[in-house]
Amino acid sequence: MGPIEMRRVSKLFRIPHEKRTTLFSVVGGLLLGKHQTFEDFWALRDISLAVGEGEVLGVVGRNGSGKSTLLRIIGNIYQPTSGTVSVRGRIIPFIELGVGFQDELSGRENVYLYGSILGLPKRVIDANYKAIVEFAELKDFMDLPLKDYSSGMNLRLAFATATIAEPDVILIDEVLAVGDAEFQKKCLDKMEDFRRRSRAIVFVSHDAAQVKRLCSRAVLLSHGREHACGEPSEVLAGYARLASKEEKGTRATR
Amino acid sequence: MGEGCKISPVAMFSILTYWNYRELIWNLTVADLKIRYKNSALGFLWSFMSPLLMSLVLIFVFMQVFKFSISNYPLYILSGIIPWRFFGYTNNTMHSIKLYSSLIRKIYFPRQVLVFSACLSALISTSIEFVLLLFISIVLGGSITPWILLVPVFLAAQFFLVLGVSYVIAALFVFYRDLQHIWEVFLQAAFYAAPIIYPATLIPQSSPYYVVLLVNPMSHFIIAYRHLFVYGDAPALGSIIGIAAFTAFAYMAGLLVFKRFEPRFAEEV
Repeated sequence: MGPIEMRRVSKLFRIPHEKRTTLFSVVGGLLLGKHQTFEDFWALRDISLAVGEGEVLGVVGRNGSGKSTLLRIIGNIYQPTSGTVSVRGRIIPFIELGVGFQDELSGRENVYLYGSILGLPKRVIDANYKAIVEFAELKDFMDLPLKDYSSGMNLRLAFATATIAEPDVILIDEVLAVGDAEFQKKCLDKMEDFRRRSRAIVFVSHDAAQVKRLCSRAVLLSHGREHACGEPSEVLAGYARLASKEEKGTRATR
Repeated sequence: MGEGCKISPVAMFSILTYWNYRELIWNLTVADLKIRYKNSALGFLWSFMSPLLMSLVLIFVFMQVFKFSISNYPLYILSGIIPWRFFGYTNNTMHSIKLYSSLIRKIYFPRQVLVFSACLSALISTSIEFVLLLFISIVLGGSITPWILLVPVFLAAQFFLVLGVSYVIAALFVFYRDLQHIWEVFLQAAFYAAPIIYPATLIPQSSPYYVVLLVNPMSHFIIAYRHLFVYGDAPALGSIIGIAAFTAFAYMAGLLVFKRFEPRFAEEV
């Protein structure tokens, strides 16, 4: 069995029409006998996929097609509504910008905090600290509080810290788009390096060139369903067709 | 994964989780303490000044205005307020999940460690305040005997009570924003429903208020701490057993509630 295996996974979000965010409104609703009504939104429908060792799966699709939900389910951040997911080994997710560092603490303190979130023992971080700072190109900034960092610096620090973790599964959600071209190249090199060492990577991106370069297989999501799966170039072509078709569709309805 | 909703006995007890994530817990605790004390150089000092000053106000009000005549009233009140403050930290620990919402949306780790480390940082602050209380007791003529060595045991028990309560309110606070106001009022009420500024003997045993006093777990903790810090004798065995039983219950129940809400945190924060 490969590092990532998903079987018939669906994810339902029940979005309340009127969100009750206070105990007051909940008690009030109960007293007045008002039932809460929901809008059902299936973010993922019946997705089955497997990612093997040394495989890079590209995930493409328009905004709201379920790409991020897919990554979050693989990363054990969301629980699937139905279906099963199994992931073997250490997962390193890059979802959204930065990784939720502590703004008040220095870059150095955040490396240790984030490292321990990834499950790295202190001695491993100690041993790799210099390499992290070098990779992130933040030598002169490590004692500054993180709130003074730019989003690019924040990402670089997160990425550099995570790469020493020797992950088995890596999840990437478009975050590489923030760094400058040179850092992006460094990250892509690192990804190829991981692929050569038989890690499993799931890569969400809008950048067709990156998907083509990095991925061995791609899957196209549309409204939470798998629309196509296979050769990256074919899937990307399918994505282009789907995008132009949907655009025509929205124009026609206007 | 996939069967995350099932609660195994081990997961329920969570002790193994704390151990496996000890480095993360410690880093989060240190981060919490640093942020609490970093912003002002006097931050650390202030954290001790505020209970002392608050006690001074209460001492003045109740000795001068209400003419309370409890022997050594200043020590009496301080030995109530400082243990109370540990429970009062639930005002902070309630935020422990919400505070790390950006982390929760991006990476998996057992969410208990956030609450646990918030409570641990409260425990550390309280321990320092207890050392201060020890000195105050010596200065104000309290009787310190070897019974004082029992303090860590009660502190550990109180930690699990605070942890259990924090699990519930930190989980609920993710969904209900008004909880912080409700909790503030509740804490204020619980403060006056414990023998902190007045002795339990002041309430007639036939009165319904006496029942409130009895069911308030903090009453028993405060009475026990007073035996250790002020009178230098042993707390009543009955109340020790009661404390142990209630604490175990509060911890288990709190963790159970927390584990029930945990899968939805990432979608809600």
